[in-house]
Amino acid sequence: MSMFVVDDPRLAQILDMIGRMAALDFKEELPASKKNDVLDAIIVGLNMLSEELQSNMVEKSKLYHVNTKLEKFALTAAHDLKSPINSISGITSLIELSLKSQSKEEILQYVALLKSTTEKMKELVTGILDYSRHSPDDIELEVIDTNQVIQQIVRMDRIDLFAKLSIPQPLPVVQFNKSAMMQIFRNIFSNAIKYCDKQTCEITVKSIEKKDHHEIRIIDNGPGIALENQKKIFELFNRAGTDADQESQGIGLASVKSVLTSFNQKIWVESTPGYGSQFCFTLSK
Amino acid sequence: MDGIKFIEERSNDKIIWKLSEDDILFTDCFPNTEMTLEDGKESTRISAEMVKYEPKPLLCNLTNVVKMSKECRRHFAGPEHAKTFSKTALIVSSPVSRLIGNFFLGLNKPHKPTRIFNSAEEGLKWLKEK
Repeated sequence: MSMFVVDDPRLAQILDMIGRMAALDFKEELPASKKNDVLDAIIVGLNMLSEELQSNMVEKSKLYHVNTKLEKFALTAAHDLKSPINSISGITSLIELSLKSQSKEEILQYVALLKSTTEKMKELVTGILDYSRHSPDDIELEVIDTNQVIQQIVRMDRIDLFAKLSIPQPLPVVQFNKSAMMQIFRNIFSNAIKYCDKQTCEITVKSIEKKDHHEIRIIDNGPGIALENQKKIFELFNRAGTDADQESQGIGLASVKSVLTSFNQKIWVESTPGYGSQFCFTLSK
Repeated sequence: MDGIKFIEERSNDKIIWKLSEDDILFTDCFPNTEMTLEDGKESTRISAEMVKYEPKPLLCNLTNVVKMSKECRRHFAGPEHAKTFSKTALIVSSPVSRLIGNFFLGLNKPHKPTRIFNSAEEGLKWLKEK
């Protein structure tokens, strides 16, 4: 084994490296001299430790982010479920009272209210499930004609009753998951209809061919979205910019983003308040 | 290490692979080898071909390795490598290779039985144990 001397310049480098690591700076790597001696071993060891520590810090930061999101998710989900549960509890008390007074009309009215409240609760739970379900492991890809998917949604959801839908050019055929694609279009169409402030809701779907992907644009004539809310609307349980009378769960667009992200695709919105919105997302070729 | 009969030998610019007649794969590196993930994957691919995709013991001489990336260590510790080798003896007879070997065992926790030895003879003896 070769020896080293105390004025070996590598010693100063090692001390500097330890100092940087103590300051949580893991960017630099020490060069090894290729003498393959003890000092080189220390240098290689420090480099590897630094690399591992940096990677652990990145993982830790990701976990912290996920944890914070989970905490927020649990709190908001519990809060949102509490509200219909309270309503149900109140309505059943009212039914009880009405049974005593034998008012059939009142009972029917409360039962209808009960049904609509449980329906809202069901929607909320379904929304949370849809949002949580999309992990990259359970996605099956298939060849999908986007035009056919939209036609199916129009038929099933009777979009023609609520909006004027136009598709000026044929949309692409892509490798995607059909139920995921239906979820994306359904959510964006239903938002366009829900938030429309015009007499007729107009929705246009366009596709722009790019080098390695298609860019789908869903254009509506709604009220538009303020710039400060354009990113927030894709966050879970965010109801940015919605009126109190619009029953938004704040899940739909978060689900759409979650689905597209699991396919490594992007979504964004372009909008000027008063001039409608364009929801744009990518689909790989 | 005398007396071992090799039935197949391959090499690239960093690694030499030799398969003995008793189905032990020997790998050695040229001096001052720096191993990247690509080198690791290439090594596993060639090894798998030589052992005909049946897990066999590996005697890996790390002595000439002066650097191994985190990704490469993770690859060697991972399931793909464990499909190719039933157990691994790491020979570490230089300060740097000993450190790399210790990192590999401590931090990466390989999927298959793996031990560090100072000499090929000791490693080979352990590999031949049932």
